[in-house]
Amino acid sequence: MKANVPTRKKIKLNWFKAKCEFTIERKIEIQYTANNVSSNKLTWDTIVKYVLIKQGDLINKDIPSNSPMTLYKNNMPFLFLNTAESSGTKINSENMIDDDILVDDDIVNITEGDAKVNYEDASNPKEQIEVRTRFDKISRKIMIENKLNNDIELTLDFKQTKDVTFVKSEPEPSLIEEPNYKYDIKIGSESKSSVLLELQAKIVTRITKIRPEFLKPPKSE
Amino acid sequence: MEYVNPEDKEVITLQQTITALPDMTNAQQIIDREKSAATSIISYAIDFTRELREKVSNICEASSYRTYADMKGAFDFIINCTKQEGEVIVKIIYFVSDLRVRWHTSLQVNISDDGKTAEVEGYIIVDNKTGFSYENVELGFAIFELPSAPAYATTGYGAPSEATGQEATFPAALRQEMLGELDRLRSVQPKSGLKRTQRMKNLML
Repeated sequence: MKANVPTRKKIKLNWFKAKCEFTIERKIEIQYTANNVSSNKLTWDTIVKYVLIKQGDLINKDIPSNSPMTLYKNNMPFLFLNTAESSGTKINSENMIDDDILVDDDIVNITEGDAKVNYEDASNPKEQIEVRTRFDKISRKIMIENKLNNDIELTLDFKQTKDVTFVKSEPEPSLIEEPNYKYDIKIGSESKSSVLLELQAKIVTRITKIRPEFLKPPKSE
Repeated sequence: MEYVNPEDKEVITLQQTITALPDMTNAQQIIDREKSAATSIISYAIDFTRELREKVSNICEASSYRTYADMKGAFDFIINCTKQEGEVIVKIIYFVSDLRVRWHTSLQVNISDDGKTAEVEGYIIVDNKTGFSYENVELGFAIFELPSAPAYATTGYGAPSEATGQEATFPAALRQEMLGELDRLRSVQPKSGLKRTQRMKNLML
């Protein structure tokens, strides 16, 4: 490519013009810990990514990551973002938080299990650690609200951990790839959709106590 | 060197190229003096008329950008020629590796009404912060990362970030030499992680 490059000036060169398929990928990733699984309210972000599927001349073009990308609709710019990695067939935008999709995660019910008590040695020989382990049944309702003026499709991805495991859900997961439980959800414009998760949480509490044999006997009156 | 007439290849050959560059210390002194003069003009001038203001600000701006890499050098070519007399036209091709010429790409995505297809327009933006203008120059675009150094953090594709005052006074040739030295030192030091390949990619396919 030949051009005139004047001193202390920026020049803009036409590189290519091509048509391509355009898709929007939205994802909500949910993962709990033993501490937050029993929280009254949690919020999650919806991650959105714009994907251009290369066609024709565009297949040979390698777009550097972090290139500014402006999305236009009806000849008006509506989103300024950057490109992420570009593969042989796709140009991906960077991941962004979708402010128009609200995700509220509320507790519905907790059924506490019976605690099993074990003892462990403490560093001080006069003390011991009381370990209380119980398995709680927890129900959480995830409400997703689409505030856009068009229908959307998204994937809710619940990932179970060693402390919080999946029991069942309403609706059933669309795809199970342990430890991930994925739900393909369609939400109409300005509508809501919900997923009810039933989980089992392993709650462990540890308290250091003086061993009974070292406790002072109560003073007699 | 490119022969305009292929048959001239038999007649003349390039034996030697001599490159003469101005002394770095003297050149830097001249640059510093110009910058100081430019600052004085702006500080002490009462007011310029509109046309004069543009001319003066152009001169001052040019001096603020100037570094050692903007100094003019000279090439001497020693050519062996078997032709007795006549004219031989050759083209001298050289590669400019000035880090102040930067580029980035920009995409404009026009989404169709149904939201399923789009028209993508790709642009390459070239920013020439050197003191030279290049007419009808062949451009090549490469992606690589420069080793970062605390004095002049680098970003972008093979080019430093916005020129700072400190960077502007730092001789470009010396800077490149130091970057090379830094790279060499890194290669002999034990590494905590694996080195990246940093392959260059040709975009103009």
